Amino acid sequence: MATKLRGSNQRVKLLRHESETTRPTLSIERALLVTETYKNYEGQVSIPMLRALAFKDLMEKKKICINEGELIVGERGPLPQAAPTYPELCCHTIDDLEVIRDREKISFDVSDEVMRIQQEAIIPYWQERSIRHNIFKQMTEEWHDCYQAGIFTEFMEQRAPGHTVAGDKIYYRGMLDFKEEIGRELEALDYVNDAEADIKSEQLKAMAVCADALITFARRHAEKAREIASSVNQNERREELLKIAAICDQVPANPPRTMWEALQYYWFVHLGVITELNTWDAFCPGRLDQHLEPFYNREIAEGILTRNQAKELLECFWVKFNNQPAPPKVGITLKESGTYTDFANINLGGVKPDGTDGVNDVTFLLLEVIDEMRLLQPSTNIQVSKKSPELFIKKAGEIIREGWGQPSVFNVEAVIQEMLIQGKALVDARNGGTSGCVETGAFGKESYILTGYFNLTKVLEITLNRGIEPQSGKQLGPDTGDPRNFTAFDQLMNAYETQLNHFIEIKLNGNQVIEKLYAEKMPAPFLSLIIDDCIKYGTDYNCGGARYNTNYLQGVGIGSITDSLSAIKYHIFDQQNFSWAELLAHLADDFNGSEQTRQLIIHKTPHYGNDNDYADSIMQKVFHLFHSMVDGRKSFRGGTYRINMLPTTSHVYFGSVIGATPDGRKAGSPLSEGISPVQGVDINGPTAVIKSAARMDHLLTGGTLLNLKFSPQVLSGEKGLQSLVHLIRAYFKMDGHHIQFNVIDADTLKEAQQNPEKYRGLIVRVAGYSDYFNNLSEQLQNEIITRTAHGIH
Amino acid sequence: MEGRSINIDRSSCRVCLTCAENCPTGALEAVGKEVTLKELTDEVLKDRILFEESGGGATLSGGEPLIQEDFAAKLLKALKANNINTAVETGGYVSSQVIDKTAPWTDLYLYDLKLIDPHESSYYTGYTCSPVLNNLKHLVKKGCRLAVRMPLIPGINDHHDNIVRVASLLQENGIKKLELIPYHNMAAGKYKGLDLEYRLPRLQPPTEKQVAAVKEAFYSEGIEAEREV
Repeated sequence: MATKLRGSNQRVKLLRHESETTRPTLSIERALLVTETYKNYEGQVSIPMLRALAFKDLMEKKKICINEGELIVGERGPLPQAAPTYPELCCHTIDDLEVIRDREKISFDVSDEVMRIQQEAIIPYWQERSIRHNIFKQMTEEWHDCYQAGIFTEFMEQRAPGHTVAGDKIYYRGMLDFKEEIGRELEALDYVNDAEADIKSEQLKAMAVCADALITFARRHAEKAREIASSVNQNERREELLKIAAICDQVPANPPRTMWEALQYYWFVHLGVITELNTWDAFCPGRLDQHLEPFYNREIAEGILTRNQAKELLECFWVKFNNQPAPPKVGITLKESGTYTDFANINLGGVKPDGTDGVNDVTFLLLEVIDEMRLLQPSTNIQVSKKSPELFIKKAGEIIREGWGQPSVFNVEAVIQEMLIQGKALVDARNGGTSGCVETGAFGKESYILTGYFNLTKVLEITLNRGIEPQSGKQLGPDTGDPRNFTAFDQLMNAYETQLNHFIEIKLNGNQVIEKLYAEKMPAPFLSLIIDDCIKYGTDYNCGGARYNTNYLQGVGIGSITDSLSAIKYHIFDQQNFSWAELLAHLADDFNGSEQTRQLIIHKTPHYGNDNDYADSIMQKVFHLFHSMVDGRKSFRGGTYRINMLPTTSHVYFGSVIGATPDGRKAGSPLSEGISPVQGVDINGPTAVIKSAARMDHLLTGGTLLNLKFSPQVLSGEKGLQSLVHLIRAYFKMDGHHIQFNVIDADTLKEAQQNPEKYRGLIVRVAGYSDYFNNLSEQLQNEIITRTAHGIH
Repeated sequence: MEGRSINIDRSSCRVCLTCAENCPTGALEAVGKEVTLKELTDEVLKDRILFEESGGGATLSGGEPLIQEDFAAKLLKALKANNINTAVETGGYVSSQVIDKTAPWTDLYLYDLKLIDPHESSYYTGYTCSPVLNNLKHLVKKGCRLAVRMPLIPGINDHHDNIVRVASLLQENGIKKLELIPYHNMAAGKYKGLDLEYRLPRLQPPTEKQVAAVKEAFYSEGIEAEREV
């Protein structure tokens, strides 16, 4: 048992310790409650109202949990680390539950009782009703073939679209205020001229039911706190519990008056959003330092809050995030996102709505909390603008170089320009930021859903095989000709373009059907309360009610495909080191018996990531192809498609479904991640990497992910910190969107792989989020070890 | 090639480097290549955005960059024309005309001093140190920015006599600071790769204590010696 626990005081130490050491379990409570609601009301009320009634039942009936010593209350499950299931989205089979229970990584305790209830009560009702079932039923055969082949993944097949972040309105308006607004909109409905007035009326009423339900949920916490208080002997704790009760009476019904109330209010909203549906990229408070500053400043000035008390509240708040593991994933979705982390990603710094620097006292306080807590959740990032003080970046740099992956670093000017290009108002852009891994969004006003990862390299494999997917032998794409007959590199690029277009069409057509399914069957009336302008338009979040609606498609493996194309261009067309026939034979044999050729390719090809025009211009070509095929297309709910370049863990999965590639990669190995170079080929140092990466036009995306790994020594001392700041600033001058740092040496990681028990607390940056090294698959562990350790000069 | 190692018959090698070109794994590697002035200038300019951010620039290093005096001067001039900060790392064993050729385009000389005693100098470096001492004076007289550095090699140049003489030379030239560069043996692998004998196989880098003692000795001679950062 570790003697040194993290946390600023004993209370936090214990709460944090509990959170870290409690094993995740699967709770059947939510599934039972939702099933009961559906049985009672399905068919008798509108769908939005059915969803609202399910939410109401959950808020009124789920077990209330107040943990010993905590100051911020409320859990998603009946206990910390208890994840509910969402059978209306994904109805787990008994096999699924056994896998979830027994798998080596990211497992959950599943009791026999839960198994029995799932078998008897949940499966019979949901197995043909679940969204997952219906998605797979409605998708075309070719979509299924592509999905199975690993050309793309599907985000919505077992989790709901969510992917949004709270704005500022909950800090000055209570649920009662939202109800009043709903009332006004209901009265203003024009049943004569507005054909959708009836639908809007139902959606608005559903939102009102949810507002009341959250108030009830808070009141139940107040009651529970008073109940515990009456039996507590210790005076101090009794006072605290009574204070908690008073806070839960105030918020979320009314606006918060203190920092404590503000945090508790947010937490109830958070629980509401993640209980209503299992949304992707868990909701988060976004610009927390901005939101809390007015409360903090006033209370400090009035002498009713000390800096240490504020810190304690924030640390208690941190624990609440860490108590909520991402609900268990199965199948391909687990492969693309194998983690307990649910991607809440708090933004620090940035700019204020008037464009001035947003760094304040709370920003620095939060940096201390991040450093002290070192928890997987919530994830954190700093938003760096030209106006950000150097001290802010350096303080964050001191945490970064400790090597557990937080905070990551974003470019405010790039993020704002991305949003302006997407047509957002300047103030909405300034109030926005980045969430999930690296995704740009207008906080509180946008639905920006990720729809799936897209395997750019797999499409090349299919191109080289004339449209045939080699693993299954199926003709999935058009026959774009035998590469042996290509006499110019452009012929290959034309064939690739045709194939890319074909598969993007299949993916986006599938998305339309899925989006419609969610709009019709799975509205989110509670989330709609929180995101503008759902109330104003009387339109649900999942039906396009947000002010801005964006759909992202995430390109994966840009480094691998660039190097593959570069190898073909260089060795076949320029140097004539080998022929098409030879290369194709090597690929088919996974380079067995042709190690010399493989080494030649690895060592003598111009690689992306070395500030080299030859390779970088190929990267630009692929990027623009992908961008032009996706960007600007319209979705079912009125959203606009954009691209992102981020992988989570899908680069490992996508690599596992591709044979050997022309860049010398062996079959099944991971692809390059994010926009980082292929692991180990970036031999010209970090400045060359950022130069190459910046040749991508980041402003045309909604987020890119660049990972640099450093050994701790290179960042040591004031000089190391200064180098880090320069590297960040230089990359951002070139419009780079995001950069993150893994600070660890390879030997430590190898040692950790051999002796996992000695490194239980070792956190590394994976891709837009941090995770325990021990929780990663061996493949992913190896990949992180391989990522080049750079030296800054 | 025998077993798992590569053997090169250096006596019949004409350094054509075809072997390195044809080595698929990069096990044989040509270190260094011929470049044109434009190629090298363009390579440096690739990092311009970083230099502008950090205040850094290009340092000509070696070996002894001033052996290629004409190319060095042209390169420095081209870099200054592009507003890049320039530095030259030199051992100072060149004629003063070479210094004059480069000085107009050099913002900073990183100047190595090893040994002052002529006999010791010839014994260990193979040359007399008088040009080195003269060029130091010459640079000071010209008003060039200098950072004097002393590689600290235990048992060779860390004895008291050398410290006193280095200190007084610096004093004479109005120089108050000195950077100490503790000896390290990271080059041993390179010697092996080149089939050359590494002639200090057993010499260990100075300990923290040894470095501190040298710093202290310089301090009592009125010189602020700092370990390089």
